[in-house]
Amino acid sequence: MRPEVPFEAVEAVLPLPLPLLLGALTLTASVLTALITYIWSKKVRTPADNREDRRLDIEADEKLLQRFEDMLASRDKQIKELGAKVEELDNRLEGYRQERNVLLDFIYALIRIIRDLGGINLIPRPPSGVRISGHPSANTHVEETPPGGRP
Amino acid sequence: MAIPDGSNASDSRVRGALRGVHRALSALSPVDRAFIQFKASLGILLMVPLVQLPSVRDNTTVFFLVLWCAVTILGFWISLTGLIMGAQNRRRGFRVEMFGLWLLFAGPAVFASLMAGLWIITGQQRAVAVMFAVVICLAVRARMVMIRMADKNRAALYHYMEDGPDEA
Repeated sequence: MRPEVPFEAVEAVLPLPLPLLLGALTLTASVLTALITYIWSKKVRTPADNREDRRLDIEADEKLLQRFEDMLASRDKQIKELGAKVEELDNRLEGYRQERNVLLDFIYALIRIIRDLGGINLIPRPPSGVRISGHPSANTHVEETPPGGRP
Repeated sequence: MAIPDGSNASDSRVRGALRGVHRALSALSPVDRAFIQFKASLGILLMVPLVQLPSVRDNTTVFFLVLWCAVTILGFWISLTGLIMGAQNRRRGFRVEMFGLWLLFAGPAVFASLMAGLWIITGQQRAVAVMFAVVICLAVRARMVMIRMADKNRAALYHYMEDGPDEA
């Protein structure tokens, strides 16, 4: 059964027979699509890409961790310096205290010797807060009023 | 794998090539192998009867038939290369396979359009041939969609060895 409308008129216009023309068009379209797909398609992700991303993430994490550790290390260094300074001060303070005790003992001994020899009155006036029994300044110091006055 | 009367150099070269082929094929999963059979049957075996059909031969030229076969067979080899590259975790593997699949797509698609043209011109019933070709085209499309889904989900199509060959 041939269709009602004959295709001879159409075929006369076409440069090729219709099946061949359609086939050639399809072939060309397929090849062009393949080329376009290959050239312009965005890159297809693969497990290698995922691994690359993961590695980058890990590197960033490690960098951050390194920065944090550096910060902590610098803080630790400062604290350690301060601790060393405090310890040095403590040692010096201890030395001063011992020196002071030695000096006090020496002064006590001296004053005892002076008192035994009877020259207690010849000692110059001691600084306020220090009392030497038998010295004339001892009596005045007792009656001295405190700076705030008596309540 | 004994190679008689071969010098040492050619022997080692043949062995290296065989080892390369073995390594390339051993990276493939059963799904990969099934698709290789599918592509080979489509890109090479199917073209032989298609080209020899009298209706196809009488309405086309030899040049067109050769071009058609060349594109389809090239599509088979390129998609095979892309599939092996993808199985080896190479970055361009899926893209190359997509390129080859589009070339392979030309085989049944051109057949379908030829049959459609014959259908229009002569009015003979060619619906079975056209639908046959369309079904094969859709099978190729299914493979393309698999590749695209792997792109979309950022997941592997198949199982890959973690310590396998990396992107080269």
